Amino acid sequence: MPLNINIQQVLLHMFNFVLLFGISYFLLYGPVKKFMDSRKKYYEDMDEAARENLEMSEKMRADYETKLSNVGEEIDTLKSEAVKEASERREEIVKNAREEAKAIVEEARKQSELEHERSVTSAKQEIEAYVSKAAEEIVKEKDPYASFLDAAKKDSNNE
Amino acid sequence: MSKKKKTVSLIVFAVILIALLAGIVLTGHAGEEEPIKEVMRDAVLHEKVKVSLFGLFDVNPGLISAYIVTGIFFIFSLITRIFFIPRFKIVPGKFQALIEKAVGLFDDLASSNSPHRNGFLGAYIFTAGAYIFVGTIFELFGVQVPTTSGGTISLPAPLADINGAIGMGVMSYLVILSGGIVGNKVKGVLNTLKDFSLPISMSFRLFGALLSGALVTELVYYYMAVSFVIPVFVGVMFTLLHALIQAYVLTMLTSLFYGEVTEPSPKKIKKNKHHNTNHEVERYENQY
Repeated sequence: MPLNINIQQVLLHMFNFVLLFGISYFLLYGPVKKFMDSRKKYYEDMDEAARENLEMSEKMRADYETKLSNVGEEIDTLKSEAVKEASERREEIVKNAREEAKAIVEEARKQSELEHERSVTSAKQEIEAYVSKAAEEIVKEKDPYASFLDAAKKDSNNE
Repeated sequence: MSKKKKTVSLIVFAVILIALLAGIVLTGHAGEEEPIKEVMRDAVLHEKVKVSLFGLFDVNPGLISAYIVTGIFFIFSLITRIFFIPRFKIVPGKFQALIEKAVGLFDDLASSNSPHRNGFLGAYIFTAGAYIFVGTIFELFGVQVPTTSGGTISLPAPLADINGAIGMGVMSYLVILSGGIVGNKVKGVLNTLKDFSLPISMSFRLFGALLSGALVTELVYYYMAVSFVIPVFVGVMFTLLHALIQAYVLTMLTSLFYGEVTEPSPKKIKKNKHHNTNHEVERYENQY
């Protein structure tokens, strides 16, 4: 062939090159590429984690800043709520105390009335008893008037 | 070192050089035994000088170079795989950085020129680049092997042999063709066959570039008057630079053509784009 081209030698060169490709791919390029890819992934994961952390911390910061800006208002609200609650409680206590006092007075009044009625009734009964006794005595004696006086005298002496 | 000693040393050095030069001039006229025409013709065609490959075939010296380069590469890869790669660290040392740089260089070249299906391409151009570079540098070592005619020959670069260059060109073309078949089926094959001159241009570009170095060096050595100092520059210019340039050119061309034939057709892209747009609209609607 022209230029000393020899198909057999071309094929031998190609065989050599395929052999070289196999050696290169399995012993050098492949393992090195695999290592480089794994390292790339390692850094990408690290980067991703860092970004997520940053986003989270930014969000938290924004939340805290909002909370911090609202904290004055919140304190005022809580304060007024507490004051209102205390005032309501005070009023309730006073109201209860008044009602209780009123009930006590009412009870005492009722008791005194009851006592009064009882003493009046008792006195009436006693007077009636005296009257009926005196009447009986008068009926028994000759001179009712004298008997009455004697009996009264006797009673006063006894007292 | 005293001044006197320095002077004596310089004189001895100059005498040795002059003696050697005199010896070179006085001993034989080796260059004249074989005319320049013959030397040049043999450097290009390797018609006369053959080397036995394992006693099986008489082949051009370039093929022996190719197998030796593969052997060197195999030993280097094996040592690296066994002793260095398992000890690779996240923060690389000097050797690891060098290996990673080489792999990363070709991987980036593959992915930038061929955005689709570049996994295999990266490995191929890494091998091709390393082969061309190491093979061309190998010429500088001047490894001597016995020829079938009884003499010895300094081994040339594997790709300074036209058969090696054709092999390399055809391999690259086949890789491009395989990319076309896998990526675009029949259209990919047609795209690759459209550039039918590619294997020839690739082969002869490599052959011409690498052979030019060998020829110029041969010429320089043929004439004794220019065979001092000048070969150093010539060797650097035509060997080191060619090693770099040709490794870059072939890998770049292969990845460019590979990228071209594996690129999805505009219709497919449009369809995918439309599909993506629909997805985006749906997502937008779902969101709001």
